[in-house]
Amino acid sequence: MQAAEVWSRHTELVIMWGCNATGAGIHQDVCYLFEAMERGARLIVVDPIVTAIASKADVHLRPRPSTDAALALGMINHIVSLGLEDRDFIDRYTYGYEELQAEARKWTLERTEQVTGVPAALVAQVAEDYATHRSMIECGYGHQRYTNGHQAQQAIAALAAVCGHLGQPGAHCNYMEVGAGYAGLLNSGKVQNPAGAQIKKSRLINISLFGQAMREAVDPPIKGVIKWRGTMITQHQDARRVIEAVKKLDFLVSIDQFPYDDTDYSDLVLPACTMYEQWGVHPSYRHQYLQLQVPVVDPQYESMPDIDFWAELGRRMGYGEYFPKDYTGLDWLKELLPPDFPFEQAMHPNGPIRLPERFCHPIPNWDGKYNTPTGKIELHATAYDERAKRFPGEWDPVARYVPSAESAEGDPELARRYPLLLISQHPGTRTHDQFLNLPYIKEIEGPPKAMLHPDDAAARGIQEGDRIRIYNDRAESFVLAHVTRKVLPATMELDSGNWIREGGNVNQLIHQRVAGPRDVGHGVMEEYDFQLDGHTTPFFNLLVEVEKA
Amino acid sequence: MSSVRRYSPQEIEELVAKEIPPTGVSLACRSLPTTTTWNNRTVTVDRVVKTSCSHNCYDTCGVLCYVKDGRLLKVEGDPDHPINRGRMCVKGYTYPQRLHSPDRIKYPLLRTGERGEGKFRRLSWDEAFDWLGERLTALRERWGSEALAEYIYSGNREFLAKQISGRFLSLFGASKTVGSF
Ligand code: SF4
Repeated sequence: MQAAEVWSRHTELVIMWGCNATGAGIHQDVCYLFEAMERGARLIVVDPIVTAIASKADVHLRPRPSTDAALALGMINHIVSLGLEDRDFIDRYTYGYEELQAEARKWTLERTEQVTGVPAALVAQVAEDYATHRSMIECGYGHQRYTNGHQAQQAIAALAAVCGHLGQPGAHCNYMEVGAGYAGLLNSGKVQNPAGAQIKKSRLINISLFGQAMREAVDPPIKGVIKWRGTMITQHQDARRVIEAVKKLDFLVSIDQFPYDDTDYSDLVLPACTMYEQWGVHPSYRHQYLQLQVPVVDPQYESMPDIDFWAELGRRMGYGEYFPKDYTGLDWLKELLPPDFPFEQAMHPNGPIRLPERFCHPIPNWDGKYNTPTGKIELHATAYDERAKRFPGEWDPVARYVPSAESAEGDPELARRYPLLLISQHPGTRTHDQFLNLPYIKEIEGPPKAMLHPDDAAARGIQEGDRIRIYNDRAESFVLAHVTRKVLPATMELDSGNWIREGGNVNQLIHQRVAGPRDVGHGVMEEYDFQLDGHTTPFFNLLVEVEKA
Repeated sequence: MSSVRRYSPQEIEELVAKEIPPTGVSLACRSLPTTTTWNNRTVTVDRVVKTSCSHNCYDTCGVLCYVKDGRLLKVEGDPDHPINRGRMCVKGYTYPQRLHSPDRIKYPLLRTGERGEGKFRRLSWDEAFDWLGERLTALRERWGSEALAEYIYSGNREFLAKQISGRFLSLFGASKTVGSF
């Protein structure tokens, strides 16, 4: 992740790709971005929706949802056809360029326009501007929320590599790298598997398929679930079938701050502390500064810090020697962080600190080193070839465009019955389903609304503010209509995170699938590679129909 | 051919040294305040605590928490944090309302109605641990330890407590939840 403080000072052009910056990460992708624009940098936004950040763009490209790989390949082809690629960079730092070019060559401007809906002239202009300026790409998750999301991300990264826009101040392709937390800063293994304990390897459950695993796992079935810091029912795909699965458990325990869908279905509900009532550490996944979290006020009501809950449960289950009773959050932090970590510097009243560069360099890849099997930027991902020998899936090593599962192109028959592709935004007023119940937020948000294009609304006799029913074979959801050109024809938008008990929940309508190359079956695995197997869920990849309610 | 000039490794090292603060030392330059404005009044608080926000948001803002009479009176962005530079977002600013909300789950609750009905009775923590302990033991005997799974995600994306739950679940031998949305 190239630091915002660096790229905002040096870049000449920023492409925000699938990134609703005004909804999340505002301080980097809005404040620092605006500083770059005040210096004269141009902004290109790639997003099917007219988000607030898109409304500030010099050029806004609006591909049909899930066609981002085609757009990136079309840009690559145009750049190469004009000789604007960085040959020297390609020769020195990439592997598999010829194969990429063979794939990109299929994407003439005409075909790119046909598939993405973005006018050929705009694709050409943005491609040329991108190639000839010191250019950044800031990626969000938007284009990854489809079954072809990994291919889209691969194609976008390939675009940066072809132009040599990597590892340079103001020129990089930032995506959701998981950050210092996974780069060795945290000694998770040592804390999770204490020395001297007998720990046997247990099976793995893929969280994207948790609902399915609850229904289908055998030897043994899943019978008890302890659920905390996450929402299972409201936020999981195909929420209704998650509820069915929950009803078959021996027990569901929820550790939560507020009553909502999940607690309604729980057998035991325990009061959780907020982040200001306990110790903690959260290395950002997009910047390099760290401020340790210290308790600010006492736990309110009878809420219990999460650490205390797990330690007490451990002692009661007979693992007392691994959960010393007098251990504070700070003692645990000292086990988790490196021995030379400067606690005093990073902790109240001091801090934050910038983390050592070995965990997160402000300009990653500045030295031309890439952590891949070939040591190069793999336009042909050799690790995929290896994975393909061991696991089923779509291990195509070179970026290409494959129509996404539930879309007009990917499933024309379903699209005849359910012609609208429904995507979701994360509103800036919430973290998924959190905050929704607070008076301040309720006042700002009002009742849940779905965006619908005027043409689609007119065809169905729907007007602004009408109560509508959005439905498919899985479920239905009732909200108010917001008729607007902010969405493309044949698409709709409904924010994620609305509670089922309050109405307007989108997750009930979403199919239970994973995105990413590996086919993980029903979600029970022996082995899993976080980076290679893919780790998103196609939350935007669903077809619906709508009618006046 | 690319028309964009490339910086040499040496130039990049110089640029980082010049434009980015050093690692490992506190970047705090101001001392913590003792008063603040609150509903147009100046209020002297008991203490200001510096911490950060872990709401699965990559800004991970530095936060100043104003505490008075054991309550979180107000939050403000840490002006010395290089990313949020004194600002927060609307979610962050709701925290006094959220933390002290009368709607919070206040004590352990045991289901009394049907699943989904939302009917519960109050338990003490001691009773809650006993209840859970009995079920965990029974589950392990009847089905084996892998019949237990944890469902955790990024509601509070903080990492420390996840390791402690991880320690418990490793020792118990539960299924391990992995992956990401
Ligand atoms: S206060 Fe808002 S912007 Fe800052 S880290 Fe928290 S959620 Fe993100």
